[in-house]
Amino acid sequence: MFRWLKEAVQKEFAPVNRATTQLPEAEISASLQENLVYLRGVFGASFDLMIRELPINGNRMAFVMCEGMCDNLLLSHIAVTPVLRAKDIPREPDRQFIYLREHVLSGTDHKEIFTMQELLNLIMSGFVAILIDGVTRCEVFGAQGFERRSVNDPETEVQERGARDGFVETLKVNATLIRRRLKTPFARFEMLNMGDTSQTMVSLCYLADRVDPDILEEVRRRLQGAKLDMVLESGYIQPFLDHKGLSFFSGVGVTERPDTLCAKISEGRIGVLVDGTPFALIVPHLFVENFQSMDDYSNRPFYALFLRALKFLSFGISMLLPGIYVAVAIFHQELLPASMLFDVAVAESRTPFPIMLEALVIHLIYEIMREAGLRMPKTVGHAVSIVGALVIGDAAVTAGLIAAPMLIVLAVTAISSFVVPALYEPAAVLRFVFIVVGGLSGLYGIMLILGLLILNACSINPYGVPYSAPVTPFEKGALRDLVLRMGWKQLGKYKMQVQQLNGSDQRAAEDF
Amino acid sequence: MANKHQISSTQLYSILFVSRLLVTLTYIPALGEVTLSSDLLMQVALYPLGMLVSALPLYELYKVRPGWDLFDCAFCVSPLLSRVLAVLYALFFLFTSLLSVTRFDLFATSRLFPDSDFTIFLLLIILISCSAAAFGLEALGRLAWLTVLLVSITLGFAVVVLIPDFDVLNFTPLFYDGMAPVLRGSAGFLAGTAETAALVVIAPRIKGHLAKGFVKWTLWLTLAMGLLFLCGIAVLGAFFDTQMFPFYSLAVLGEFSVLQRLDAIHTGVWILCLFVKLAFFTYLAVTCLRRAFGKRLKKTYIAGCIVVLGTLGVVISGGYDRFAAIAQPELMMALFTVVTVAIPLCLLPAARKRAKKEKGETST
Amino acid sequence: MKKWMTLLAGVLLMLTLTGCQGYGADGREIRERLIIQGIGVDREEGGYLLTLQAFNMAVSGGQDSGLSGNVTKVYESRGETVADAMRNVTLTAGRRPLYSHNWLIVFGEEVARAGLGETLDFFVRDYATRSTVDLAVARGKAADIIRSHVDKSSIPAREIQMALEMGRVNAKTLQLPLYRAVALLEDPTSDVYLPLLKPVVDKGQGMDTVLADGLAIFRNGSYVGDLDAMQTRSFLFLTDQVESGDLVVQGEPFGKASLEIIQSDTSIETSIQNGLPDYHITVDCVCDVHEIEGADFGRIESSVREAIEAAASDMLEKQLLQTARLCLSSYRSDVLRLGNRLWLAEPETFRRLSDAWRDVLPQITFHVEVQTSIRRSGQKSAD
Repeated sequence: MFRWLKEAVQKEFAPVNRATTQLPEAEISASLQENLVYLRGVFGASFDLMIRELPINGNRMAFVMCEGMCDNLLLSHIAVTPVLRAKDIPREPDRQFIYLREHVLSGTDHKEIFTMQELLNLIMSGFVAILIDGVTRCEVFGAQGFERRSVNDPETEVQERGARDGFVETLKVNATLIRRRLKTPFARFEMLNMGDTSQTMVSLCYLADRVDPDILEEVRRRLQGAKLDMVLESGYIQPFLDHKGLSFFSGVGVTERPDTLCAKISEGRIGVLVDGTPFALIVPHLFVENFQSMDDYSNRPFYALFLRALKFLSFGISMLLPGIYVAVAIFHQELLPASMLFDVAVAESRTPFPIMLEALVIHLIYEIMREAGLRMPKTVGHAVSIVGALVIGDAAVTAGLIAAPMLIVLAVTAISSFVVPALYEPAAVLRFVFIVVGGLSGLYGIMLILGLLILNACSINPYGVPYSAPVTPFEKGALRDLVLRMGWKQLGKYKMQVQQLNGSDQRAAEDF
Repeated sequence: MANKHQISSTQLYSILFVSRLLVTLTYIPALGEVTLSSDLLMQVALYPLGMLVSALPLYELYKVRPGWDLFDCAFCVSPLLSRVLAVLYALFFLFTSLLSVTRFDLFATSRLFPDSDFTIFLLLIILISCSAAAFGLEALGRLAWLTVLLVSITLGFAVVVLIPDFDVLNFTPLFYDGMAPVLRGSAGFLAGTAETAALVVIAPRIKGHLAKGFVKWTLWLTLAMGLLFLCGIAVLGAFFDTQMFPFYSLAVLGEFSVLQRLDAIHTGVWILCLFVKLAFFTYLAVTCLRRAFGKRLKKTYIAGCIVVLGTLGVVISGGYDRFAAIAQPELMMALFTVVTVAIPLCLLPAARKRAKKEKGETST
Repeated sequence: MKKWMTLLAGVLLMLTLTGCQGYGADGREIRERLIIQGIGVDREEGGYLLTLQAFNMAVSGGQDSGLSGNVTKVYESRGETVADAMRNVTLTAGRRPLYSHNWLIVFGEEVARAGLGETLDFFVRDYATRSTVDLAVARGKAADIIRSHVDKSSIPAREIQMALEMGRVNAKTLQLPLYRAVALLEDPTSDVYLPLLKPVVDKGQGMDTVLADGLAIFRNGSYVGDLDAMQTRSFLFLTDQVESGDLVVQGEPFGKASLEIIQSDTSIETSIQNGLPDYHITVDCVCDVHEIEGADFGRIESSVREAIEAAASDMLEKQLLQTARLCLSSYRSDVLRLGNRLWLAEPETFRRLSDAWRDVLPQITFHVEVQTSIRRSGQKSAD
């Protein structure tokens, strides 16, 4: 009876079939003219196809490239000029091809290809193709000269004492940054192409003597099975690598720093570099890694210990403080010391809104300001800070809209949330959840939801490694890098492999 | 069966520790044996003995064939018996959950929110905790380990802070009223330990030494209970018996400079314990039901448990008398004897015979 | 699927927990609470008169908050029972009472004489009161104590409670929290004791304050007699609650000396003599010489020191004996918890005597032995 309804609904929400048009598999033809016509046809009205035809000893050849992708000066130096000046070029096309390849063309990055598909792919990656009339193959060589960002400070992960180079958008450069730090032949970079239209280069990097082959195979399988049209950012493929099921926490780490990536790889993890973005992914990612940074390993152990404790505390504060404040102010006033109670009571008595609403509103305004500050052009950025200070700070309190203690809570929460940037997203959302829960059911509700959250985190096993390791299942040895951070003389003795953490042998995803 | 759904010994016993400790934390003197203060400590001292003795049949059964749980052993006698026992145990685990939830409801309505309706919060605790069983035993074990840490810290803090208030005069001479009340009281403590029965289902899944873990668990539990009772009696004296939930009163008293009235934090931790306990027993009940009726419909079983617990919880909550009716010491003792001692004991000969037969078959 | 279920349940929890308290928790917000600092309970015809001292929310606060000047206000309410009277406060105050920061509960003399058990019941049974609140008995009406401005302090009730706390320093008064009082009341043989408070009004000097004035002794929950400051000190010695204090000793050849108590330990041994309990009380008191006449600011010779020690021990023995007799024979009240000691030491004798314990009290024998030793004498502290 309701089947028609079901079908109608399904039709309404059926995915629009947007299959990418696939080019037919074409071989490189012997006729140069045919090849060029094909190329011009495929590119259509697009201006960036550049073809330079040259005569060579009675035959014709052509350089094919994409405008702007190649360094023209380099090209003319290593290819065009030598060809023009070449003597003794044979007459037969095949021998011409071999002669050019082996005696005329300079340059180191050469490859011989046979299909149009490859040719298109490569010239759009900055290679130059040489087609000779009468030859069914083509030589491509690298003469990349496209604009690329120079290696700079990583903007999102600032370290006091770490290196000042961060990843850039070009994958090859990123790979170089890693290779320079890991001068071992076991450091491998596997290439894949992802995205049907974008054909983005994606590279898996790992240390072959430390990585777990099962995990590696799983990563490969997931990436190859991902059906994506465009891959413009590593965030596009992150969900494919992440664990199944809802959670606030991600089992995939992100980093912009080559030194961090190298450190992670040396623990048996796998890095995923994506062309076009400086953000690399790392799997598997554990919860406690959000609190580790390169600085911890450069600083002295006692200070690093202090900083670690500070980070854990800050995360707790950024997530729970507003909720706890609301809960205590409404339900558990007995927890406040007497003098503080009076101040809070008087301050809150002068504001019109209930405490929970006040907390929600003020935190929402803060998030708005933060997001605005992020998107605003730098020249106007000053206005945001002034408006922020004026609006939220003085004016609201003086006008009696917000109580001063609430503002202090907001300020402390906001500052704490920047100490652990990796967990900013879950903290920001959970903050609101806890405010509502705290306002409605006090500390007991907060405990219950916290228990649920921790349970959820404990039940995740990215690639078989428990997300909450090494806190629980507890591993005494791993403590030396978790809460404490022992000196390098001890840390250096031990090589941790993430797949060997306590609890990783239980690969059952489901437990019934 | 073997490698798939294993749980490490530490985690399982963390769950059991948290689960049993909650019963002590919500101790109701009126329901226990009427004993004088020092005799309570004797009851605690006798508790580990009782635990170890009562766990012997289970252990023997486990030793017969470590890969089997009780239902496999019952299968040796007859498949029907196995199913019947599975249903029986499922009901027992549900009953334990019901007891915990209604006990907590009594606690909340008498000490926390007497002037408001707790029913909705109760239903939501049941809903959330029971659905949490779907996360699996391993995750629960990990959470339980963290809960053990939390409980230890909060209780340790309270005890340490209260040490200056200990008064020796609050104790009474031992066995003033004779041995009988002490033995009865100790049996009462034993009867409140439904966790031993949990091993019936979980034993084959433990990665690690079953017996060693059990002994350690019992000892830690005794230590915790002993400390709690010691503190309660030494600080509260005769006040202990007048209160419905004396350990809550104790939590209220633990102050240190500006850290006062921390009872809200203690209660929050106890709610976490309840969450773990309910999730665990629901998990056990569902596992038994799956043994009895087939492996699919896991969600249905959980939903069923929620409905049953919710209805019964609402019916029984809201009054001391109704709770006292289901929490009678005699009833608890009878259940304990049957479920933990009698049934494994009865199945022992059959299981042994079958194991011997199989060993005979493999060797010839 | 299961995760959705749990998260949905979590959302439900958030939204529908209003059933627990009503939205916005119905008058539980901090601004809607009457934060009580002190309670006074008096008897009146037909019921009780409660005097409450609570924070006055109308007072300054805000930018320059800080407790300058009296920030409290006194409310009065009447009711048939204590709980009834508490509820009736809302008729004038317009806010729900918050007991968790209450410092002090004072009982009027009449209430104390009538029997503490009935009045205390509310404070024990109600879930929101703190069990660590201090109790006291007023000389006269509790309302006078609560209404006192205690020299224009910001929170008078807190000042009074702090004066009780100072019993640690002067050994002439003490603090007794609620739970201890109830424990003593519930105990079959022991009796409760509470500090006494006296209002002092000097209109000439404009002084209006409260004095901690000894101890009120109860028997079976009713106020039967009191101990003055000296006797309170002796009582504290007998119950091993002395932490610090001063002893004024007179004798030859030093004249008058003031000793500061550094440490005091009391042990009581129980034995049976002629079928009746006999207690041997030993007090070990370590003192410093605080002030002394006739010693030239200089060293005190060992003979003088011994004389001081002997005089102090003598004096203390006499005072302790006298106080113990007073409590046991005149008041027939077992505030010294001798019954509990007997129970622990000689259960069988206790079993025999416990039914009529308070009648046995006057027949109890005890010996007091005090050992005072002087540790330092201050100046030229080669000693």
